[in-house]
Amino acid sequence: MKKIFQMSLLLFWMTTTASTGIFAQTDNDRLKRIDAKLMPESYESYRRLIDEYPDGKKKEFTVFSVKKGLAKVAMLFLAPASEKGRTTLRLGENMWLYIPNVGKPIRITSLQSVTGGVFNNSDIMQVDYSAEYDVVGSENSETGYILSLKAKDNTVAYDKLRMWASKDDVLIKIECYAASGMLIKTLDFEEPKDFGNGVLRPSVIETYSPLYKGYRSSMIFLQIKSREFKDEVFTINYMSRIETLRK
Amino acid sequence: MKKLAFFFLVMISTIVHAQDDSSEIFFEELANEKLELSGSFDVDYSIFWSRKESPLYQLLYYNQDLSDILTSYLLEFYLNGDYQTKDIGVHFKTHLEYFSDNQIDFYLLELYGNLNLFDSSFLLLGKKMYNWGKGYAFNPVGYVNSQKDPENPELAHAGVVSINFEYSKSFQSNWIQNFAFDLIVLPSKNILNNMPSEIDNTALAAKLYFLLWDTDVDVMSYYYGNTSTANIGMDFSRNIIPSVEIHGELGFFINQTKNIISGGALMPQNIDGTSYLFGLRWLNQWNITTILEYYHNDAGLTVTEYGDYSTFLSDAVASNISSTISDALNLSKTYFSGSVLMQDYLYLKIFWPEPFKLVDFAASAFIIYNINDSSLSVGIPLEYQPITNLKIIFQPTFFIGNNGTEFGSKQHRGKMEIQASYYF
Repeated sequence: MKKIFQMSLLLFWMTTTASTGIFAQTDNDRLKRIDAKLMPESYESYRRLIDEYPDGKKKEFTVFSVKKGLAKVAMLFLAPASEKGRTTLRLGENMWLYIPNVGKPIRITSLQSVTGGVFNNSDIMQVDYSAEYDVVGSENSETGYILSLKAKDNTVAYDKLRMWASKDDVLIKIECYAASGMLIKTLDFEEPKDFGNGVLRPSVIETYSPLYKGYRSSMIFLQIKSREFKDEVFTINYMSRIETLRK
Repeated sequence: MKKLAFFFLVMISTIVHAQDDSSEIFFEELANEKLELSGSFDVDYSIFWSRKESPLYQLLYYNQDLSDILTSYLLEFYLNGDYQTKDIGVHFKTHLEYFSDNQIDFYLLELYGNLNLFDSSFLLLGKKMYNWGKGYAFNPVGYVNSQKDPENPELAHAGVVSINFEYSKSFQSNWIQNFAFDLIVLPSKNILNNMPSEIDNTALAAKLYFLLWDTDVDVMSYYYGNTSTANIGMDFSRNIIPSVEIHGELGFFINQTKNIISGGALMPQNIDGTSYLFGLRWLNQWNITTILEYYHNDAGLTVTEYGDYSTFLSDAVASNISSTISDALNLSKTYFSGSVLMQDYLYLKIFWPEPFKLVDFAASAFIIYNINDSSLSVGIPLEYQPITNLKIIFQPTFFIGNNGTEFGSKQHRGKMEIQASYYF
């Protein structure tokens, strides 16, 4: 009797462990599919960033970005003229800003914003979510499913994410939380658009934050193209030459 | 005058051109354009509160009975051009200063060509500004840098004529992510009767860069054959937590010239020594960035040496001989015109964009504190951006210290600068 009990306990433990592993595997696969639907693995894009302020004022920036792999992003400001030529680079959680007059890259952090709006540097130079977060829970919703994500380490800008996606793995909404559980901001993914070559994704990301009442920022994707780059494009020495990638 | 009119015409045409950027497809058109012009037009108005007891003031305005408050009005025009194809580019940066019809100064800040070579290597030929080192206000290892002004470290400066070869390599490794090598040859500037110069006057500089364990590390050296001056140094920069970055520089120099005044005359010495800097950059929860740096330079003047220099200027004034005064002023401009002259400094800058939710404003304040003589310079730049591409900066600066100290003997007690810049 004792042996049967021990065998049952072992079987229960094995089943639970295996099923948890399978679910975790499935959820992390879902996150990877969301990343894949959002962007090609290696691409170039043109975006417009618009920051709206409580008094109705707007600031607009146009940027050219390139990305490779899970966590390499470089970006060049094209407009306005006062920011033109500034570049940023992200390698994992390392970030730099290059200002042409200064002539050297300086380290910046994911928490600040090179544009000054609700989007921080981590949002503007977004890398794959699966590179920064693990899925720790999931549930079904009316239109698809919801993933709960936890940052892989404390260098990531947000400690937890709650991510809404459609049944076909297209992002709908993300809520970003601090370690304390406080909601920092919400990102809405809107206006699906066919960018060609199989890239069908939301073309507008809007963000607002309970911490910045009356502020609103949006990111409009104007063009996305798959493109391969050398690894050396994502080095601080290359930051002053990102313009050459547009030629 | 014709030169000025030409630059204004170019400026107006480029401003008109820049207005087209509201189109959704402007970026595609721009990408296809080979030559792009950009720059800014600045109007500067400055008010200076004179320190008439300063020996430097008395040398500069010898025998002139002037008002306690002086002003200057300056027009500046920066024009940059970039002709870039996929692998070859030609770039220039120019600066025009207009004081009056009789005084128009033109500076070629940069003019260089660049070429992408094989396998992530790159060649640059021409006049180019470099900025080595991780320090914000000072760079002990900035061997090829233009002279930096700690009051405004982000100001564009003239570059140096050079040949620069660069090689970069990335790695898929947990400990080393990037590596780069820079070799810079600086041909001699000392020409002889419009003929080629001696090869000994050529300088060589080299730098190795590593991104190691998420830390930027540079090791660099500089050698100037004619005087056997040699420098070797290193720097680093790293985020210890996401909101705090630390950085440092350490440089050793051999046979470097240090200019001091001894016995009422210039007495250059060749010395060996070190120069170093430690600093941090902290971003707090209110989006306020604080930069704090400590800088030491063995080649700077001691308190006694600065006193000798100050006495030399006072003696020149007391001599009442115009040639002596003129010589002293020239010596001061040539050998003691650095932004800081002594050995130990603390630098603090606080920058607050959009203070109190005022969207168009940015407030900052900086202090350059001379540890050796307890004098200081304090600036409070306030920036206002009423419309896109137009910036207006109000900057009061005060020079505080006892008589005979570095900042206490500046020719001005303080100044108020108002600058309006339009970018195109």
